[in-house]
This record gives sequence, structure tokens and C-alpha cells, in this order.
Amino acid sequence: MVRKLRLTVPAAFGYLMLAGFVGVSLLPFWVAIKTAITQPGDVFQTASSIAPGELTFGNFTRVLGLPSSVELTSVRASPINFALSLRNSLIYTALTVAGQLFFSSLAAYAFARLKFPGRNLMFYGFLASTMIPAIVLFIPNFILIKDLGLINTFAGMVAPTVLMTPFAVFFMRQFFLSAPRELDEAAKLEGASAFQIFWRIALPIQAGPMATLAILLSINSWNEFFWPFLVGRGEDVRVMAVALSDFMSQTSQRTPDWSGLMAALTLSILPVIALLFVFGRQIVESLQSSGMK
Amino acid sequence: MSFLKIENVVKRFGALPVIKGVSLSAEKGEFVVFVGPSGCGKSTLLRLIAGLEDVDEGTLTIDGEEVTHAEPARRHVSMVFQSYALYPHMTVYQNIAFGLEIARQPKPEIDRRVQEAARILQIEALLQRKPRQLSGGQRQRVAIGRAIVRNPKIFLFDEPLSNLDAELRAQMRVELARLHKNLGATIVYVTHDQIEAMTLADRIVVVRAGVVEQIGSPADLYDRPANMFVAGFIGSPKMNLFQANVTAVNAGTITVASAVFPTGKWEIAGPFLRMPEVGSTLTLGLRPEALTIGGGEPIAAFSVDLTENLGGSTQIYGRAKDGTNLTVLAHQRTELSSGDRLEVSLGTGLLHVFDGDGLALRV
Repeated sequence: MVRKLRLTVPAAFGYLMLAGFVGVSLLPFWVAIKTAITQPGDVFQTASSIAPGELTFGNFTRVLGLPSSVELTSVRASPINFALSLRNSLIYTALTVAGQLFFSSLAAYAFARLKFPGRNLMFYGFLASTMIPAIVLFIPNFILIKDLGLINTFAGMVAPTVLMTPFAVFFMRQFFLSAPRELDEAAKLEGASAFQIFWRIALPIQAGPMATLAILLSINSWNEFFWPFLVGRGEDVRVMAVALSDFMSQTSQRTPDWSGLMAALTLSILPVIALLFVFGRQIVESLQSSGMK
Repeated sequence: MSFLKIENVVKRFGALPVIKGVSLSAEKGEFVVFVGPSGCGKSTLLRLIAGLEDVDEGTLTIDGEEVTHAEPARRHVSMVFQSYALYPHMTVYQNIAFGLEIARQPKPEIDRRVQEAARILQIEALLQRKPRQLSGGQRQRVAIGRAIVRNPKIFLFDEPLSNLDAELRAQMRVELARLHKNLGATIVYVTHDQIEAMTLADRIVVVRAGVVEQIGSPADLYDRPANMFVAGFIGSPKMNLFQANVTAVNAGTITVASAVFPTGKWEIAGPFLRMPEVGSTLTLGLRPEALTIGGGEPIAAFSVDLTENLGGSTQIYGRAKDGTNLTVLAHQRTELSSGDRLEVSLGTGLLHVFDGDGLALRV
């Protein structure tokens, strides 16, 4: 039996609104892609048009440092060593994500399961710290990292976030709270220590939420700009987001190389889009069940 | 000295006392069942023995060693939870082996003991499965396997059969009884199901509102309930309880009056623990299965409200002249209709007598 789709006026209005939101959300992406596939000289002529000018993939080959296309443009070759920035971004992301997953889970488990004086006070204090704007923390953190001699090192770049973030702790705590307490108790009766219970029982059963958290943290770290920009501008540690900013003064007139920037930007967001494409549903479900969104 | 000894144990949640000075003991190899209504504190009592809750007052001794505040693992007890609490990410084998691995037993020894437990419980074919691939009964067996593999001093069972369907529950009950016999294990078992309590227990502990109402063998509790609560709680269908006034007290006998009796009065012979006063009100108890249609001198007369044919027996619900509800379990089929008059005699069993405080007067 074929079910007829009944489109009532309110439903149609709803779909129209949603389509509008989708359009507004996707427009910047399209503008980036459109600029990336436009000849550098045509960028401003086609700026008011939704369609690209004369199609080219030269910008991509240029930012990837492939030689054949360099001469095609009036701008210099890519200001970034794409492969090196990619490597740096991967290291930065891997370090922050691995560190946060491990340490945040430890803290979240303690907040959810262990009994110690001042536990709730500490947790709510921890949550309250999310209300401090990040910008306020940048200066003291920067001075600290500078005094420690960690400028232009991965250690300095990951230092403020590698241990934990309130978001990750809160997220994991919700899942530990909803896990059956009997599992912990059964392991306790069998002689397992608190860490053994955490490591061998509580953590493995949260593999799904951990994967979701890993993806969310990866996206955040991958896109992180300001802190790496402050402490990690050396080429050896410069991550993709920071490297992209170098396009802003790349042409011979010291004006932004828009088409190069957008091509590099498009390439840099591909891993994030791939992650969301594959794990999108799981991320939404985990966020819903954690009660965070 | 008793194998498990609980003395004057008190447990409070905040200011609320949930266990109010409980004392009891269990001998080695004994099957002790805690029974009582929901929220009476029986599970809390079990968790206190396990060490999953802290004792506020009193002492707890296992095998001669005081363990009142000892860590759960040091008490050498195993617990089977109502939800089974199997580790979902581990196979059956890993679930059973976990405690032995934590205790750093050598691998061949772990394997030997897991295989032995699997053999006893007939789950050898399931060892490589995950818990989600098992039925309720199989999960139950794995949970028991995890308990027996550690060779504990005491097994603690917290309503282990309540998640199973009726048929499987009956089957597992028999298996538990067999397991107890074969292992000679000391078992403390919590249930709200009195059939489980009656069939499994060497001794039953009836708990109400954090207080032990009576401890005794199933037959003791059934035949000689210490108070009205135990009388009403043990036995199915429930004991008929009705009020009667004491009209005369003679040497060793009392005469009581109630509209339930066909002649309006009944003479009860002792021995009595205490003699009631003339004019006082007593509560009398008659077990439905102890009443016989016809037979000897009728003890109760009533009109039939409803009958339930149970196949081999019939449950008859009726009402005496004064409106007192009565239930009779007849061990045959009867052709009774609503409104029929019926007289029943006390076949086997006692007429239970309770005083104004609900305490048994007759032994």
C-alpha cells in the first residue's frame, strides 16, 4: 500500500522554514567552494553571483604545492606547507583528544561514582568555570606557557586543554551516571580496585559515547584557531587553521589571496565533513541522551 | 559459633533508619531466606552483609572474623544481583573469569575453574557468547557461575528469579536447591516471593520495616506464626483473620464469640502463652487450606460470593453474617453458586489466636 503524503499548510510552512535554514547554513560553504574553483583574477567580478566564473582546480593544486599550476595564476605559490600543517593539525588534534578522553573520563567517573567530601561542590564549581569567557584565560595562560618556555611547542599548544574540559567531563559523567551501578558493585565484590572498575568495566561499556566525544573533540581541536595562533606560529607546529590565516596577506599587493584561502579552507574541512557524514547520527543520539543539547 | 552473625545492626539513610537493630545468624551450609514486603529493608540487609552499604551500628562476623567495616572483597562473599549485572562487553568466559583475574590466579587455574563452573551449570556451549546473546535463564546461570567460581564463604542472592517468567522461575528454583545441596554452600537469599522462601529455605527470616518479625523453618512459620503479620504474609491464599470477643476463660480453655461461628461461639483449647481477659478482643486465624467443606463440627458459616476453579482445587470466596470475608481452598471441584450457604470445619491445622497487639497467644 502506498501512503499518500499529506502536505498541510502548516507543514508546508515548516518545510519551507527548514529549507530556508538549510540554505542560510550552507551558503557560506558554497561561497567558499565557489571562490575556490574560480580563477584568482575573476574573484571580484563574480562576487555578486551565486555561480562561479570560469571553472578551475588550479587553486587546489596550487595550495597543495603541485608545480604545474603555479604559473597559471598571478599570485605566488601557496604560503603554507600543506603537508606539514596537516601533520601538525593531526598531532595537535590527536594529543588533545587522547588526553581529554582519558583524563575527562577519569574525572567524570569520579564525579559520577566515587564518594568523597565536597564532590558535588567541586563538580558544580567545575561546571561554573565554563562561564568564564575563554578570552579572559588566554592572557594568564599565555604568560604561563611563555615563562615555561613552551612557545612554539606542541606541549604549550595542548597544555590548557589536554587534561580536561568541563564539556568533556560533563558529557561523560552523564553516561557514567546512567550505567547500572550493579556492574561496579559486582566488580567491587570480586576484588577490583576503583581504577580497575573504571578501566575494565565502566569505560569499555561507554565505548559509544567515548567515540562520539572523540569526534566532537576532534572537530573542535581541528578548528581551534586562537590559542594555537598565540603560542604556535612556528612552521614546525603551525596547525591548519593558523596556516590558513597566512593567505590573508599573500598577494604581491599584500592583499588576501581569496581563491587560495578558500581552496585550502575547503581541503581543511574535508576531514571534519567526512567525520560528520559517517558518525553524524551517533553524535546526535549521544548528545540527546546526555541531555546536553 | 555461627558462620554468619549479625548483631544489633542499624542502618540509616540520612536520618531515616531502614534497619533497626537486626540480629540473626546462619550456620555453615545453611540456606537462609530473607522475606518481606517491598521496601522492608531485606535487600539493604543483604547489601550490608556484602559490604556495599556501611553499617552504622552493630557488628557483622563471617567465619569468626569481624568484617563490620571490611572492604567487600575481604569478606569473601559472592552476590547474584536481580539484574544479573553481567559485564556486557565481556564474553561469558570473561565474565566468569574476571574475579579470578583480579585475584591474579594463574591462567591454567582460571581456565580449570571456569570450565568446572560451566560444567556444573551446563553453560559450556555459551562460554564465547556475549550476555546480550543469552536468554534470561542463561544469564541467570552465568551470574551464578560468576559467583561459584570464586569459591566464596557465603553466596548472597538478591531476588535472583524475579526477572524470569513463571515457568523458568520454577525450574531455576529447583536448580538452586540442587546447587545448594551439591555445593553445600552457605546461602543468604532475598525474595518477596513466599513460594521461593518456603521451598528453598532451611530457615526464613521475615522482615518488616527494618525489623525481624520472626526467624524459623518454613514449617515453623507456617504452623506457628509469631504474630499476625507473619500469619498473613506466609501462606497462599492468605490466612483468614477475623475478630472475636472473649466471653469466658476457664482452666486451659477460652470461649470466644463471633458471627463467623455457626453457633455464634467457639471454645478454644490451650495451651496458651498468656490467658486473655474476659471481654478482650482477639484476632483469630484460619488457613484457607485447613478448612474442609462438611466433615466435623462446623467452625464457620458463610454465603458464597465467588468460586475460582483451579483445576484440581477450588478457591471459594464468601462472606459471614457480619460481613467478614472468608476464603476456603477446597481440594476438589465444587459446584457452588453465588449466594449458596456453606459450612466448613477445621480439618487439619490450628485455629490461630492473636491478642490485641497482634502477637500469637497459642503455640
